[in-house]
Amino acid sequence: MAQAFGAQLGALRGRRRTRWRDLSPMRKREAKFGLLFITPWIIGVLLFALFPFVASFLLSFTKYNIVAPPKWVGLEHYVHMFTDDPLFVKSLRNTAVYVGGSVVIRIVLGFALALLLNTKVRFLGLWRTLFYLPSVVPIVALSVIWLYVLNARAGLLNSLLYAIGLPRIRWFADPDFAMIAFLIMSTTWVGVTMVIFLAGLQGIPEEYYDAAKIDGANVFQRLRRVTIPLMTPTIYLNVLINIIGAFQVFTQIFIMTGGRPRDATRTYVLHLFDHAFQYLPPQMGYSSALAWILFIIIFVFTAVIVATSQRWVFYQGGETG
Amino acid sequence: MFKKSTLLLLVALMLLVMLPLSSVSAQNPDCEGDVTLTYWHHWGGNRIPLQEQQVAAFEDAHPGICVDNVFLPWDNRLQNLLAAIAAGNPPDVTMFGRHDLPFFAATESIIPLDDYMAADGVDPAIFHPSEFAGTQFNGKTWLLPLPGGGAFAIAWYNVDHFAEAGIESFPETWDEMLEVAEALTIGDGSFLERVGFNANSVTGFPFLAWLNANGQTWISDDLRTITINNEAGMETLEFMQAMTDINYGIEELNAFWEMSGEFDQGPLIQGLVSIESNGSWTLFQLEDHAETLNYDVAPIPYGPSGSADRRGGAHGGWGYMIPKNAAHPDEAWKLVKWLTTEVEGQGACWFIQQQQRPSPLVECNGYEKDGVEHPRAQAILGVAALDYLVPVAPVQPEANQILNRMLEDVLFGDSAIADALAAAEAEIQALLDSFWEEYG
Repeated sequence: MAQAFGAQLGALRGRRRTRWRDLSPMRKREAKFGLLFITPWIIGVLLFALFPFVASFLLSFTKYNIVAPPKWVGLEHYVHMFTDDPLFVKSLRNTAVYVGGSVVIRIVLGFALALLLNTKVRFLGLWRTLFYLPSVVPIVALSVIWLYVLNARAGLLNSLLYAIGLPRIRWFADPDFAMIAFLIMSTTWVGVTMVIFLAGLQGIPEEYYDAAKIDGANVFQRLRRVTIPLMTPTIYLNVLINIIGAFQVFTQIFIMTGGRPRDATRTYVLHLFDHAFQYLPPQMGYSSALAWILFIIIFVFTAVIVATSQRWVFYQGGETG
Repeated sequence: MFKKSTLLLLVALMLLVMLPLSSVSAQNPDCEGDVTLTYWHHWGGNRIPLQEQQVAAFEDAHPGICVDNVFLPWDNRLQNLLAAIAAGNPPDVTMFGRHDLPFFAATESIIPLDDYMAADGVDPAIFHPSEFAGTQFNGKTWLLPLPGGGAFAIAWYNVDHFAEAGIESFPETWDEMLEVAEALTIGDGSFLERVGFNANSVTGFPFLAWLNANGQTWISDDLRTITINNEAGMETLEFMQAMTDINYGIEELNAFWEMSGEFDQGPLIQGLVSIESNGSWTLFQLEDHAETLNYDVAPIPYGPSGSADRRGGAHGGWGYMIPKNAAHPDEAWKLVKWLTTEVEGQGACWFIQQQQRPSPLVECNGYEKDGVEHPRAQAILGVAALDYLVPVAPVQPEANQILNRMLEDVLFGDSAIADALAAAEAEIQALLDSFWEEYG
């Protein structure tokens, strides 16, 4: 998928722009219909993406309580969050822990599962479906299920720990374990990562493995020297998707702990949400400022990964990212 | 490629799909009138048919006025209302949290009702004083109350557990409560089998409820000064800490509480706690799910700075109001009056009696359904009579978070009580000062 995306990008770069007047009547007619059919999408993007994007930027310099016009306050919100909002730092730290933990878990576990499910085992379709299935379950239902699984007294996980002689853990009652509980829960979506890895694995030509075998490479050497280098475009894609998603973690935490205990699970988006929709007066301006800082953080992370990808992402045929 | 008519049909279908479907609206098709009021409420479940009957009765009693009766879920109620007011298209009447009042009143996003009340002779004295007090801001009446906001912190206790532990009567004071709770708690010192009492599970805002029971109001009458960093505040946190220690500490107590979530699996019903502090609605949960439970009710105990005649707190609750820019404010007032003051027919009193819960109207016994009083009625009303108004701050939601954080700081042992109180008071006071600077 990642390789196909790169190839398409290259083809587009090489294509010359065609002028409207050079088009045949048939092509013009098709183009008009094409534009007509994407009009709802364009309207949607303008109304629901571009307009809020610009509006939130402007609102971040104002005090805005929804019922009264915004009042310009300049950089006040940005100064406040860095100097006078301890929950800003705490929620950012919690989010960083979640991003670091969940991205590593999903990449490593997703890759391992994809490797296993790329072999010729019985009921392959069933296994793939089973691992992917949790990803399509609504997050509210998942949250309720995980509350039972991680229940301190009667939960499945603690029962397993007890069975092997380990002490029970008060997952959501202990500030030291509450975020770990959410990291465990993040394995729920490993199926998505796994499917993308599977697609990448199936794009690796068999001849490479045959050549490596003839050269005497064992399983681990083939994994290290063939599979992983050729999977770097897919790893790159998965890392980007997971980092962007993990920074925005909200729903399960909102439902399951609301940021407790001791704000140990208060993530950045939860903090932002509280200011916008939980507090009175609503602090839309401050929330917008928080949202823009999050956007910048995600943008910087993405830019760094994209910029460094040339060093560690390898495409078949010798190209680098 | 496509016929024009086909294209139009496709576009029309796309627009239809884009229409939002986020509420349930019911309008009486037989009603004929010049005015149609839009009425928002949050009475879900088995209260929906009651609402429909009540609204139909209003339409019968007020020819020419029809009501579009819209049920909206509790979640996002504020977002919906704020968005509608900002867009200049609010409902004519909406159900409204009394705890949300100060901001809406300060920004004059809702209409004061005093002139309407005076014109129609609606005397504030028809409401219990603690209920009507919650409708006031800056000396004006902004909504009328329904249902009752009191009877939030009633002690429901398992009589059999008391008998097994040799306890003859429900404790009156905090010291007695600590002794009783310890006697009722079962466990091995680190793993709870049964909780005698959890002081942190009081409905609403536990610290404010206990501070009230300790004779201290947390905010000044003019809602400008926080008053928690004092002797009563110290005693309150000490009591909550001592009660938590009886339950093997905050982590074990919270972990225990995880297993008691839903109403029909509540810890009192399951026999997992001996005393539970909860609202008047517990009566019906017990009747529905615990027919054999041998229980009784009592007022929550009072603290060393408190008194026997001030126990539970009337904090928040519901009411009905008219937003600014409502299309038909005069007719809307008639609906508000019907929903909150009408004691005849299928009006305010009938609606509360059908649910058997406390009524804010003095003349209406909410526990008297179809002329028959519920056997527990007098006990619950007796407890509710000891309620005292706990005022709502203009920055209440954020203040609640700060108070909960303060409590956690103390219970997790991260902060001394005096330091936690001082920090919370300073933080909430700064919010209040900022609010009054902007809206005062």
